[in-house]
Amino acid sequence: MRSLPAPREELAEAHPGAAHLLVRRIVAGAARCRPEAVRFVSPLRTSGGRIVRGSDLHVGATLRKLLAFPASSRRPQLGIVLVDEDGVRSRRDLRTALEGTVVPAALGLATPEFEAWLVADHAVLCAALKINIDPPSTPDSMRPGSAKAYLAHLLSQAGFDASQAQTVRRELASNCNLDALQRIRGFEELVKDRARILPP
Amino acid sequence: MLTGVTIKNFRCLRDVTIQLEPLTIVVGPNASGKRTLLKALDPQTRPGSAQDFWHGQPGRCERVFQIADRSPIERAAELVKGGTIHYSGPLDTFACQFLQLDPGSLRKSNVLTDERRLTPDGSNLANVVATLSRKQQDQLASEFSRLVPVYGDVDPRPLGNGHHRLLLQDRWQESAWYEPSHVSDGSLIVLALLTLAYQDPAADLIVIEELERSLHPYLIGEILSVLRKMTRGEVGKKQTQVVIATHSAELLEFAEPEEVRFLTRTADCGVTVEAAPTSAPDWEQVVKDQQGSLGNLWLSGGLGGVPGGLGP
Repeated sequence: MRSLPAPREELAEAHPGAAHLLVRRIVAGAARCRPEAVRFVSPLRTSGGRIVRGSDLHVGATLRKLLAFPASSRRPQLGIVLVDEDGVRSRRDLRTALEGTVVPAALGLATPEFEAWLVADHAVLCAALKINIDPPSTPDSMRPGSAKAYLAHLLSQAGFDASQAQTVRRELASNCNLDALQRIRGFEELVKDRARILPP
Repeated sequence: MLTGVTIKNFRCLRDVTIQLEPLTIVVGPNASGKRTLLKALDPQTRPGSAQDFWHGQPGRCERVFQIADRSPIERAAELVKGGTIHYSGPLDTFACQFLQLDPGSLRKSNVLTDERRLTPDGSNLANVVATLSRKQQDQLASEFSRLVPVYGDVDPRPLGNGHHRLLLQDRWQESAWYEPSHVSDGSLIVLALLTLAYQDPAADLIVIEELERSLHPYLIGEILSVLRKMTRGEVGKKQTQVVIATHSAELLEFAEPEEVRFLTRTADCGVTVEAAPTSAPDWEQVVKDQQGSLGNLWLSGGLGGVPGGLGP
């Protein structure tokens, strides 16, 4: 558990997870700015003031609440909703849920498995884990859950505990070659959407 | 009517301006400065020690009261080295009544005295009710019975030694009168809040902390409705402005967005006050996305008034 600032407050550099860091790199590439220039704000809360969990993002009405920033001066310029598909969530559902929200631009992406992105760059994976491993099969061809299991297995094999694993995941997100991810379904769509919302 | 107050260097309020409505509802997390703000609204409040000044430092504490159709009124206090405090500004500006009703105090018997206004904890409720005319007591009992229908009447009864206390009659069993110790906290709080409309002289401004305490959500709405009538002069001796501090999202479901102020404690400048941007073009969309719930809107943190927390 990490301490989060109040909603709308900027997240400190220690807060963003691996997904934040990858998204930051993609958005910065489109906006032609330094990755550090892409900043994150602490999210709004769900009903009852509860801090959002991943499963909340599967409910369209909840998603709209999370993006209903009332004051335009304190509103993020871009909202990106990234969820694991889990075999049920479709990209179309997300797009419908996000239509007409007050955030100037909102992207929704249901990816088969986010960890497939993290293990896609074999060289960076070996460097981060500090072990030699055989290249996996094409990550996107893995069955649902297998990329998560594969990464967990590697982290365990390399001797990283849970808190160190977070650091490794951030390192993978920060250093992986984005070109290596282009072949993965989900990532490619995010890059396309990025191009639509933030034309280079 | 008090339309706004600017407060500088009073306790945690370094430089805060709040615009006020006939009925204003202040929300914010614990220790966000709500109580200090409520205290600062009373012109009679005087910083009494260094602790009442921003960071306890020598300096000038100021409050400027903006009153409709009148020139602004300034109350100031200057803390000088050595701890002496110099005061300036008029005291007799308007009558402010601060309330933080306490069920234990509301149950107290009183030494029979002519009292026409509730004390902050409501401990003189028996005296205030006893001082009302018979007609007013009947009206009060009728309104109380409407909101808490298990009771049919309210009556101050002597205990001896010059003391008396309130008894509440069972609506369906007229011979049964209940001692305050047998009456629920919420019932007594409703009775006290209804009594406000009969105070004489009426206050210009009533400030209530934790109005929702022990009240069923339905009653919160009903009490807000009564207080709104007081602000319009439809009940009571004259128009009375009301400011409420609350932690209740349920209370906000009975509020108008324009009535709510959101307080947030900040690391740098003490406290900020925000209002809902109701005139913004996409305000309606925000409300729709929050499913029409002002309580949800507050707890989402989109307008402040929500603390940080532990994330996943």
